[in-house]
Amino acid sequence: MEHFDRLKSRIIVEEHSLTNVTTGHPEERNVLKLDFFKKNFKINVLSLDESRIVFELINIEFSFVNALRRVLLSEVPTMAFDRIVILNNTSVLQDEILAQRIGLCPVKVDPDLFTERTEGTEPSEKDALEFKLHIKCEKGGKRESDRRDVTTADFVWVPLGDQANMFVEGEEPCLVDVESPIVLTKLLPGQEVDLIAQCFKSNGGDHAKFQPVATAWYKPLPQIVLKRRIAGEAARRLQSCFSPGVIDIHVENGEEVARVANPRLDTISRNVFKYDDLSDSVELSMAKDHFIFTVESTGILSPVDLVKRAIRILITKAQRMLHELNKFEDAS
Amino acid sequence: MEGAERKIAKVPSSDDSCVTFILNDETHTIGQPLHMLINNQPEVEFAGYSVPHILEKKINFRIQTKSQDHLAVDSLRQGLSDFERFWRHTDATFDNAVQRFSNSTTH
Repeated sequence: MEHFDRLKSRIIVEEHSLTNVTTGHPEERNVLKLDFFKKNFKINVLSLDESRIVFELINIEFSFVNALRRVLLSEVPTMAFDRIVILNNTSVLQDEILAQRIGLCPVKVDPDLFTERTEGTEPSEKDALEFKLHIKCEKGGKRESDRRDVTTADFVWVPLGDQANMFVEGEEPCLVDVESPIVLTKLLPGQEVDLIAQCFKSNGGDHAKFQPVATAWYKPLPQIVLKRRIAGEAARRLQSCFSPGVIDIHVENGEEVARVANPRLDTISRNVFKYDDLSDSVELSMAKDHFIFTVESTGILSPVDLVKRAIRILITKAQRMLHELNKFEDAS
Repeated sequence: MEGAERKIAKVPSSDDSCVTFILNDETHTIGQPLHMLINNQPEVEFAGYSVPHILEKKINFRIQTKSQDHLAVDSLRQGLSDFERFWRHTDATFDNAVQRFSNSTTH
């Protein structure tokens, strides 16, 4: 019975269609009522490390989850290279290609320390970060070891104004290493790259290089119910229809029988409908108010920090508009 | 209009219970959840939003209430206030969840 009650809050996934999709009239949506939400909303962190967090949100409307994702992608600000002054570039990469590559490298510094730059003003310590890159590959022979890669580790931070005092030793602005420094260009003996690169603050909505996530996404919780006993070779085939770990096989009376182990790992691929004999054996569905959210950081901010900043931006949005509305009322 | 563009503007209307607001510098990010929240209010007949042009970052948000006694702007205010409270609660819940996770993995 509990299964059928749960069905009301689930979208049924069939071979060619989705059913039970309508979420009901908004007036009936419990998850939109603040009291219900405060009592029933849950978050469980499923995994967390320095670059990624996976958490589930239970009893929340999908448009809120999507709002969080949209803000993570396009409204959480970071610093990124936005102006490159190339003094000398004799490498094989053209100036603009090198500049574009540099722009995409994440800059590890707390964006809150800076303000957005206003057009037409000179970059200052409050809105810019400057790095210098000057590498010359010494004249040598034709050996592999005579060449030199120019990487993000070769950038040298140049403090502007009072910036030297802003950062603790060991936590100065630098470029993010992705397992190892990012290669920007390669120099042959005699070639040189000499440039000054400045970072400004903006967000992903302006240019993807400012995006602090690599990336952020969510999926509704999948549910798989086996409608009948599936054994033997069919059980192995069923297991192959789903992502590894979703279906496992256990031995019962000498026979291999399939059972649902971890439906969370499923990608709702509907591969099971490939096989006529298995099409009617499972019921696939997705929850309407239970989501698994993943945030992968580019290395500038921690995943927990990212989520908190995104939520803060959403709160500030509402506050700003409420403030405007109150001014409205006073004016009229 | 003087100075910086207002965040919220109103299409002139003679009826305060049926109003189209223009939310500047906003997108589906706030439009979708806000319209779902406002539709949930019992006094609201209709709430919806649209993006008038994809190259301009603004949304038209229309609210129609069931009676003249309920002003559309009050529904908008309630919706925004609820939106803020939803996210404050989410913030606190997230903090607890991260705390619980750290506690469980350090044991």
